[in-house]
Amino acid sequence: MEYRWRLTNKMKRLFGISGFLWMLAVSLSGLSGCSGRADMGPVADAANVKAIRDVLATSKGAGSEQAAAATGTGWATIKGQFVFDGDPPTMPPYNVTKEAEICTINGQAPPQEMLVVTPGSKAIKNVVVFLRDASRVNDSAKPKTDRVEFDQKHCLFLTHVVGLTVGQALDIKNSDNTGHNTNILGSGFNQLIPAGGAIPYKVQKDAQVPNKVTCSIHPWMTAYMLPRKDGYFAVSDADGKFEIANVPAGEPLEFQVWHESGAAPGNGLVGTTPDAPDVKWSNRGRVAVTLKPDDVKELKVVVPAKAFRL
Amino acid sequence: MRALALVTATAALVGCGKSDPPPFRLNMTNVVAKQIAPEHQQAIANILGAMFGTPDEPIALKETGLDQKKLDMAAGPVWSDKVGAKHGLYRRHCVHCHGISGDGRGPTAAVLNPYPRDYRMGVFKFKSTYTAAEPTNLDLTKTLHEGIPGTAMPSFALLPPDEVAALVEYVKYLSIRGQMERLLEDHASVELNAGDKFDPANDPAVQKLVMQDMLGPIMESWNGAKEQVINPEDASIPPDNRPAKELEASVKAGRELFYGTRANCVKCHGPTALGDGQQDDYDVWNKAINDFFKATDDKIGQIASLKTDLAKAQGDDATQIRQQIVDAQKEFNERHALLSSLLLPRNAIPRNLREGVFRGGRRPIDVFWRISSGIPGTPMPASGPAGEGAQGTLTQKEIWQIVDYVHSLPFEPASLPQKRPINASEVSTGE
Amino acid sequence: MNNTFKAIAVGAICVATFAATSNAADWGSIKGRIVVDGTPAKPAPLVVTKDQFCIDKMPVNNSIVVGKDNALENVFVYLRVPAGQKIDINPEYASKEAEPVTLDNNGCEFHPHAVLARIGQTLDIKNSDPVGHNTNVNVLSFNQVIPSNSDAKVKVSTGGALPTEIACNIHPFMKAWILVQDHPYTATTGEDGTFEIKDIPAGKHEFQFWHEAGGYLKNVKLKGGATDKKGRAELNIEAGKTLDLGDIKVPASALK
Repeated sequence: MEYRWRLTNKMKRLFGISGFLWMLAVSLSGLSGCSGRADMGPVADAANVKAIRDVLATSKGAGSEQAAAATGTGWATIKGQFVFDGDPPTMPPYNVTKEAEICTINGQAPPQEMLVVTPGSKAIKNVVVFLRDASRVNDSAKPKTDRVEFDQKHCLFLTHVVGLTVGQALDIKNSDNTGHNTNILGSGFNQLIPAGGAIPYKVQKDAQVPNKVTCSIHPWMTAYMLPRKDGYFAVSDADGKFEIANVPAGEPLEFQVWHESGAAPGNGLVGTTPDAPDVKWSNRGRVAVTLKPDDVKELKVVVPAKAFRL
Repeated sequence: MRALALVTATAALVGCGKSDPPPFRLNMTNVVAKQIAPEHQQAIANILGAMFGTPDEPIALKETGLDQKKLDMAAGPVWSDKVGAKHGLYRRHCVHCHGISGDGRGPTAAVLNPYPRDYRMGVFKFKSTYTAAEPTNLDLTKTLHEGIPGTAMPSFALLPPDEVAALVEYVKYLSIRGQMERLLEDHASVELNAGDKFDPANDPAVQKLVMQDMLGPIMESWNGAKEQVINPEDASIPPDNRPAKELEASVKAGRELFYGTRANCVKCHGPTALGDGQQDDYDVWNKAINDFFKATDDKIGQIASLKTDLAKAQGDDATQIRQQIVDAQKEFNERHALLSSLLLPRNAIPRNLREGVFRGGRRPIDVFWRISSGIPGTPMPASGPAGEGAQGTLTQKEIWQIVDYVHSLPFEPASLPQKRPINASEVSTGE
Repeated sequence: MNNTFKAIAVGAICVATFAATSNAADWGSIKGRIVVDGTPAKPAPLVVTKDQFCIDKMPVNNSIVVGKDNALENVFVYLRVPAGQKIDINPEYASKEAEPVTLDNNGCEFHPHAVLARIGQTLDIKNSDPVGHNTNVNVLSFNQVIPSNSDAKVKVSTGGALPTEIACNIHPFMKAWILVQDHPYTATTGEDGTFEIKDIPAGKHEFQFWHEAGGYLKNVKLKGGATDKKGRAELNIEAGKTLDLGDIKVPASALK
């Protein structure tokens, strides 16, 4: 009797709930679990558990890579080229619905830029590559202070994808003979840029993926802007080429590869690097690689058609 | 002291007076429904044991990125160390409802409505991210901090922040463990035949399957959650101090969307917004149990039908049908043995919007998230985009208008207590 | 000496078989017709209480659809690629991969009732009805409102070994099934119970037979054997030939 009382009191303290609830709990658990009618299934077998755990601990899984979280020394460079595998789709023209005299070139609406592939070389333009988290930043990649011009003409953003560092100033120009309003989604900036005028904008906060830039007056106009804390980013040019210099060497790096039409989550772009087996691609378009000091890693990235959501 | 606590806690959890520490158990509803062979059940328990440890000694596997210190604070029996730091937080605060393995089947679960959440699907209703994404740490912290109004889930705002953080970590741990268990069970059910070996200790292919193909995507989803947060455009957000006229116009527009065929809120929340529209559906947790009951029932019909076939069959056919009857009977018996331990499934009832009680929080942004990404696991669909860059059904501005309308509903005259004659048949006499 | 010679010989054979499998001519097909043996229980009529439009349309319970000559519709027949393995894809399928898979909400029914999709394809969910629907595709963690006469697109990125349910929560009587695989070697039986999968790499493959009411279609007799407990059979696809399984009889008792 006394034993039972002590037990109950103990349990009350254990659960920190009222005696009434406790009684209820006991009676319910008594109903549900004790009669042994239901098969509750097996529990882990200690010997096998240990054997599996030993294997997992020594396996070359993600763990061993993550374990090397210690920072390395020295700097390296990563560069390369994006090439489309197969026949790229032709881009339809922009749906110019107003002010055709300004927004077309020789009476033709310009082609959309959802995927820009150079004929012949099949080089992919406007692919964004950036280092996700830099453990240290080389002086050459510190935030920049030079001003960047961001112009629009023929109702097109002349720079379709622009990368910047926080603190950099953007001169948003309008070379058209009509008003534009430039809306940088996610930044809170949405202003009218008068015909022939310019408005400065200073990048305040960084982003994990490029922000879309639109014009509410000409809704077909689209560009992308990537503000980053450091200079470890690049946008591929008309030759599909990119280069990010002086990234930390001797430690695991993770780059995000992004394209506005990328099919992976968050518009990640999943390519392949058949010539570089040490470069690991995730299905989000993230690339894991460790570079040696003073290494210049050159990658040929082959991107299959299905990596794009077109 | 600690040993005694362990013994009593175990007795409380198992309820049978055994003195072993409480083990993690498999999801037997799923195991039986998928007809997993006993040796594969054992293999799954072993793999989970290796990856996650036990309720008293959890393991923060490196690949999960979980914090061992936090897990240690949350797990195990309840005790305080010399400086007063509390241990066994999960068993102190959560286990009586959510159960040792996070199955939502603690001893009090049966008397609660709604039932406590089963974490093992990795699906959480109230969060800031896109439909398919996991919740962020902040989302889980908020649920612990504020509780879930209108349910038995209380607020833990009075706990020190480090204890809340430890519990959040432990909830994630139980979810990840539960998601792994489900994938292992799916695999065993579909890919393995009775007698097949399934042991990572001796098979690198199984090791790769478990760590890369199964755990990899689960962790990618959890680690990527913070990048899946829905941040409404600043331009779409209504300002705080709007003139009454402007608010009125927004409420009116929201009302039109609510009753219109694009947002279609009326179909489930009902023309009165009392939640009296679609009431026959289930959330994923109750559906699993409902399907289990239904399939168990179906077995009876199937056995009867096989017996009819047997009467007409001869030779090899008859032998084969006889074997099928034996198999079906065995499955029925296994299912039947579990029925008494299950909570009867309940329908998902759409929220009564006139009460002003919002389970996921009543801030405008909370209601915005509910409408934009829906409520995962429940019938409530998303009206916003399914992911970054996807096309939503409604614009953000329209969603804010519905938020305004929903916030106005509890203050409409129709929401106030009504005088009406009481129909005797509606009043319970307690008999 | 002898060993070295063996190694070279084995190497040569490997190269030879590898070259053979990548030869464009080495593709075969499979076809057949699935019929019910006996009379299956009639599926319970749907309880349609909502939206006058749906009540008027009188949607039927499509969980078991038996057509002319006992043809069984909506059976999933597909090649099973074991976990962690890949299969050669015939270039013929490249263009189809870019095409969207359409799922229509029409007359408060999903059309088609049995959907096939490849990872990477886009699922284009339409609503041709004057009433609003929502489409809940559990395998994709997708559940979105689809207003009248509009559509929503979702990229198919996650699959599973078996078909899974598609539901409309506004009209819970609406059901469909979707199979998502990482390859195109999948089929569903049509109104006449027939199916055909073309351009499969020649060789032995395991095929899965699955139906929503029957689950795994087990112990079903095929030419030269039967499906196993999990509704699977290993069949040999010969280059340039079509394996015609003829009529495959599923006992009515297998459909609950």
